[in-house]
Amino acid sequence: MITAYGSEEFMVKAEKFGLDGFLIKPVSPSTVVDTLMSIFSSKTAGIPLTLRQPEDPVGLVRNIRGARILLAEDNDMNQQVAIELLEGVGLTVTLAVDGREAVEKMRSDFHAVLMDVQMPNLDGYEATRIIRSRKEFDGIPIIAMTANAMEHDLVLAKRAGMVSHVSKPVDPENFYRTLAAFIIPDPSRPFDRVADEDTETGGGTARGDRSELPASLPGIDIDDGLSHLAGNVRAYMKLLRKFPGNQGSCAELIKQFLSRDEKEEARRMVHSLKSVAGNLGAKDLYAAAREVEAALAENLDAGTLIDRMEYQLRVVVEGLKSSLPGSEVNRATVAGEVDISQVKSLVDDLEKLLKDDDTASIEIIDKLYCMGISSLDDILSEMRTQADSYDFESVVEKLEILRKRIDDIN
Amino acid sequence: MSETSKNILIVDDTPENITALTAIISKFGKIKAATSGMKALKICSGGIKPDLIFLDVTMPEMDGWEVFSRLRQDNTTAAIPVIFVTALTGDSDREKAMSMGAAGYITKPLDAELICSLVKRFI
Repeated sequence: MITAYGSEEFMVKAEKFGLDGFLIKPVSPSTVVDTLMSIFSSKTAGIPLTLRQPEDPVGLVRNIRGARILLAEDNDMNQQVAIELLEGVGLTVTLAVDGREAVEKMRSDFHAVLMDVQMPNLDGYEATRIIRSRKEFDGIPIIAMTANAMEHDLVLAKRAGMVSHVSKPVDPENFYRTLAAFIIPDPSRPFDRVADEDTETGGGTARGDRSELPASLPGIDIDDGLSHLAGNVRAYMKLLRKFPGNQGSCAELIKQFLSRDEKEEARRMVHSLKSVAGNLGAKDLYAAAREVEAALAENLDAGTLIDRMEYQLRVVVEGLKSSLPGSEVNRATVAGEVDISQVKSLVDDLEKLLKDDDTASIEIIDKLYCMGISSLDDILSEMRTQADSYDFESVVEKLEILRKRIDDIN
Repeated sequence: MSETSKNILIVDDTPENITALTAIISKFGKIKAATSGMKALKICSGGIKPDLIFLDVTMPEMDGWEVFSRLRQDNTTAAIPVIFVTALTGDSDREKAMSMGAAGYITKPLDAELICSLVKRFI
């Protein structure tokens, strides 16, 4: 919708009618593009980037992986899209939010500059002129990002010293092709070393292996859940194991809160359930919780919706209980030879980390627990529970007793 | 590789959400955790400031907006980039976050790829 009124009220009305965006007159090419981009990116936000890429984007830019790009762009949606495209194929991005910052952040070891032409403070043409006037930046191509087919813009861009242009909204294939054409490998300005994607996200021992997980779990899309945790199987298992105990009685509690008219508590609980379910890939439960949350927000009767959510919750919880039995850690079976000085130094490390609210403290507690020292079992297992809830202060309070128990071992 | 000396603070009242986010970003540095707004402010008032904060919006007692404005009022913490994390949906919150000067805004369920690219922008 295009309107000459810039009022907030009008925009709210427009949205209620189901319009996706609005342009305020006078319309500039840049705002048209920015509006299109915001519609485009909010509609496709849930779609993995790979689906939006051309057939072999990496192939187009294989020779320039690791190149350093200065991106000058003021619109946050456009920034996000451009950064995803650039970093997705192994290019390194430095962001400048306007022309002035582009000039300040410019470095002689960049391999190219992507410059939006319409920016506040200092526009892209002016910023280009300043950069071009400095000898140390000779030979670094500056590529304009402009609205498509605006002949006038292209002339201005060339005149300012830009070598080419890409159009917005960005067409990935053309975008990559242009970059590959203008970035020339130069031994005096070597590219960054790019880790192989496969080895970076692959199953290192600390992150665990997919085979540790069951092939399927009721109500849970395991691949979806893993994708939310960047493929970290260990963390995923931990969250799955905690779920029945922590969220198992959520629906019941929500009903109790509502019967006592404690709406705020009920809303908070369903909100939390929704976020945890979403991260685990429990899609049906997530959707059901979202409906309950929406109903509660509107003060509607959520009875039926809560029943549906309770059913989904039961499916997930029962599935987890039967598919993930047993203990989560492999503890030492023989407690015979324990190196006390090692235990003590671990406890010293632990204290430092706890006082720093550092999450690495959880691993140290796990390590101590896995040593299987029977006289420390109960206290360490309490400490683990507290640390898993990130209640580091309570763990610190237990350190003194823990040290005493360790001294008693010999 | 990233420097391991960087500090990232995650603030969320739901421990599971801290665990999930930590799983994604622990490769970027040291991860600190706070389960309340007050605790987050306490950590930020210490000598070592976080280089980046992930801040949940919906929390009891002190919500994310309040934590954010308090951080902004204090000169020693005003410049720390803050990325809001929320399970709320709707553009109004995104716009609110951006107009307040947040460094980013992400929604749950988490999008690991997007989060990593955001972290790399600030660290």
